[in-house]
Amino acid sequence: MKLGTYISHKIGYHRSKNVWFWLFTLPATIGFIFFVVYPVIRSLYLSFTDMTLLAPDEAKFVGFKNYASFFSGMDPLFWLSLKNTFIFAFMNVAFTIVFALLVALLLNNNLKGKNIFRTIFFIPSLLPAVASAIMFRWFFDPSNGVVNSLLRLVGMSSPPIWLESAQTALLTLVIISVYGFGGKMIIFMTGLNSISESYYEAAEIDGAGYWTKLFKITLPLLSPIIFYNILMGTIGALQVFTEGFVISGSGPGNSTLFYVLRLYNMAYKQPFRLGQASAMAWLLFIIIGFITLIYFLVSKKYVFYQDGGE
Amino acid sequence: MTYVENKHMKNSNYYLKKRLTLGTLYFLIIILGISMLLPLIILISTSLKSYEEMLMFPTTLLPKNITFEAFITVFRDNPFFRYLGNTAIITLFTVIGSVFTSAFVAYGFVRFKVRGAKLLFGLFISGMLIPGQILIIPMFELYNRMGWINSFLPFIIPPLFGGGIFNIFLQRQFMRGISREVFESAEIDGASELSIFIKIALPMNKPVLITIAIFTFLNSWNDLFGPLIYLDDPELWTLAKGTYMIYQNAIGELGATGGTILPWNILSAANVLVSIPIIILYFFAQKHFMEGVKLTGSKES
Repeated sequence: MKLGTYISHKIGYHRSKNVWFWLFTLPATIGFIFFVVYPVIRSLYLSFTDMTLLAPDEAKFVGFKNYASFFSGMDPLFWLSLKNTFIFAFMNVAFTIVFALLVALLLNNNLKGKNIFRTIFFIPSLLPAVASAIMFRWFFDPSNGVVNSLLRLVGMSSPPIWLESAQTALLTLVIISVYGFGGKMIIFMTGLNSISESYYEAAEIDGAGYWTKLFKITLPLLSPIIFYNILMGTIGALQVFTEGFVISGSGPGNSTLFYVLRLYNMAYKQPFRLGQASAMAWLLFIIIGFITLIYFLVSKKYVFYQDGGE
Repeated sequence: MTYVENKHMKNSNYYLKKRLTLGTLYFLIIILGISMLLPLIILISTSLKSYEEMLMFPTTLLPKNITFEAFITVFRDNPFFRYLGNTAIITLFTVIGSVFTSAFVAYGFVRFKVRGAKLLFGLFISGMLIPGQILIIPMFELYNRMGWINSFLPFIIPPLFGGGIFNIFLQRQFMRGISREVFESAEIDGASELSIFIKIALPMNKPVLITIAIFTFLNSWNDLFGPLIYLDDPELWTLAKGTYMIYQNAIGELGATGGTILPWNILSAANVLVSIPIIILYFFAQKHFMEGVKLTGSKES
């Protein structure tokens, strides 16, 4: 209190506002410099060197060599990890969004026990990724996992071997990832809740049935939220790590080697190739930025904003 | 409205039809609900089985003889309480740091409209676009040079500086809703800025504080990536990393002994132990979880 009055008296009201502003925002300014500005510049620099943590003094400037090495075809694992990640992201987003939307629409029918069901669908998405990964690794165990036990019980003599086959491992990870659809479902439910009853009443007077209302009112009004979920879902799925890392590592024949898993192996394992990994991280940023841009361009055509825009 | 109802009344099949669709809806939702719950039920049930019973085929949904053997083994063979303690320390510091510093900074932005404030805020927001993978590599290098690897410092120091840009954004959004007169009248009464922040802004921002606390807790509790790269020393492992290592060691042992089946009952027990605090938290703060999902979009990524 004394400090406050002192500052005000000493330097006048307006300048004291300025001092207070910079004082209060100081922690974030320092944080921004140390944890954003510094690492951005440093990693950009690193991406043009062959820096490793084990021999930092021998690092040389190598120009675009790190970036070029990914595209030269000398690094087949790079393309494989990119392909795996894209396939995973596409299927994960498609299934998760459709599933979350369908369940949200189901629950939107004023069912009894709506809150209980909401809880049941939401809780799995809160589980620690490690726990649900280990759990599913076991469920899909080819010999004594629950899934194949059930399949044998219903008469399938040679059920798929899921995570142990290069053909099915990636798909199995997608199936597992859909289990965490609850968060997106909640967002859809909030969106559905905010659609005004009056639209439906007006449509009913015009004799619209359930499907007409769904396609002419609900989905158009929900489209910004669908778009948001798809965008955030894609950005998240492109950075998938824990699921693949715990459940299958890089999988049989590297069939579940994801982009960030490869980046992790590069940067944080001997000999800690920070330079190359930084280049990989920046490429990921460019890929994400590019996809985001495409999404926004496409969305202009399909996303409907109630207030007319932006 | 009455017109609509009358029209429906005329249709004698209407109520039958409606009941049928409702029946289908309940059927669908219950089937879905069961399939969502089933993995959790099997997880808990397996954790209560003995190794022998776990091996039996066909598997039973519920254990015939409930035994806590798996839980006892988890605690006997692993310093699980240490993992819990480490996780608690990291989580506690991260949550407190994030919640209060982000409120502190947000107060600065809301209360003092000075020149450059918008620019600074825009700069902060642009920082959110940079993916973590880019930022972590130089920080890993720096922490390594500073001797912070194998300490909790990489976890608890950064949140003290701003508490996360997104959290500042949330706090600011909510704090803007507080009438300026509230602050101004406190100022006229001679309250200092610090006491206006502590006695007025903080309490009024309570809903956001709780939401941020919950989601910071979740992220910190579930984090595997951080402990994987910063914590090699087993003394410092968190629950997430500890559980992962229990699983890795079980696979290693299996390779060494030439066995084929992992001790899933023990792994399930570890999974149950890691997950329980989160489930309990959910039931205590359900409302805030929902608010949080709405505000933050989604938990993961």
